[in-house]
Amino acid sequence: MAVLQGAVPDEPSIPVLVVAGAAGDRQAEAALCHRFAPAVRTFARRRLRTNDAVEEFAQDVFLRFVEALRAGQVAEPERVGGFILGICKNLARERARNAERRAQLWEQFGSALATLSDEPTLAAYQLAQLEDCLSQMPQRSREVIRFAFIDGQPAAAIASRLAMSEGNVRVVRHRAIEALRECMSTKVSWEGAS
Amino acid sequence: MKRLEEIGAYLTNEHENPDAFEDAMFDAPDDADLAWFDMLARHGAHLASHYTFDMGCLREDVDALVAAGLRVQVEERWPGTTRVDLADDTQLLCTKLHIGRTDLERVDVEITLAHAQKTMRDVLVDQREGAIYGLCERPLAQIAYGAGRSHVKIRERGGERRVIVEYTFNEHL
Repeated sequence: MAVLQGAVPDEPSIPVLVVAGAAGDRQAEAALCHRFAPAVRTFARRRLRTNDAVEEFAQDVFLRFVEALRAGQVAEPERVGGFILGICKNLARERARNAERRAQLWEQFGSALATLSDEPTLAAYQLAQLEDCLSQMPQRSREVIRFAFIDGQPAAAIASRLAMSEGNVRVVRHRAIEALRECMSTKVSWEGAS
Repeated sequence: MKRLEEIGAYLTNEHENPDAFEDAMFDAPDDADLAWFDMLARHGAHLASHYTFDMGCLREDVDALVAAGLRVQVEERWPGTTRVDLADDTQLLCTKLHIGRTDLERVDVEITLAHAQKTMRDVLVDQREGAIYGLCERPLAQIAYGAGRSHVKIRERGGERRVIVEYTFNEHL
């Protein structure tokens, strides 16, 4: 495939950027990624559904490309498009192989993973316990637990969100988690005290 | 640092030495506190996605669950004596309780059973309708409505905690 020469006015041609990039010019590397990004994303978009997956694929492609460029592995600057397309195809094959390999492994060894799923009756009871215990906590405690352990937010972010001090968030978080753990060591309240 | 606190700090990226924590975690994976946190995160995320982590929700939240394909059984109730029967395919039970107050943001729901009492705290009121949309996952709904008669008082939160309305559920059980 021919490399477009001078397709972008006032910018160096792609082979010139490749030579410069291989010589250590970081701006040339960035320009190459920028120039090829629409093609890589288009390649990915045909195979992947979500935007996040497309972006992740594109990032992986460019990380490998820059690695190869710096290692002097792009032997023919004129054919860099093919080189990048090769990375795309390899990456797509790897993903497909991983999926296929996963299916084979699952068929062969998946039963060993059955224990990763909770026993349904126990899981249903734990869910009921958690819902029951949360219902008896003050709203502020529920919010702190949710933001910290479901959404994974640090105390500083929760403090800002709930107009509390960071120290106070940590105190509420600790007390709430202790109370929740204690509550869940007993029966669901509708069943009476244990 | 207590174990629960330490796991909490690790999960929220506040642990001073996460590498050492990870080494220890994989050296001794049979840790009841770790298992409990894992349960909290998984079930908590499930509840949060169904608006059942917090108490009470808005009408549009219920509509969103229905639109997402969940089987939500909506039971609309006015003060007095009533009964609720859970359908076989119900995933979430939504009990809409009319309290006739559009001025309150949250209320407490005090429930008295033959052998126990509980208070659901800070339950959200849908102020546009003056009603509580009480969502409940099937496992808890099965236990709650299988527990027999329950008397429910909905109270204001502050001051004298005045009773707003009362319900009696499942008198027949």
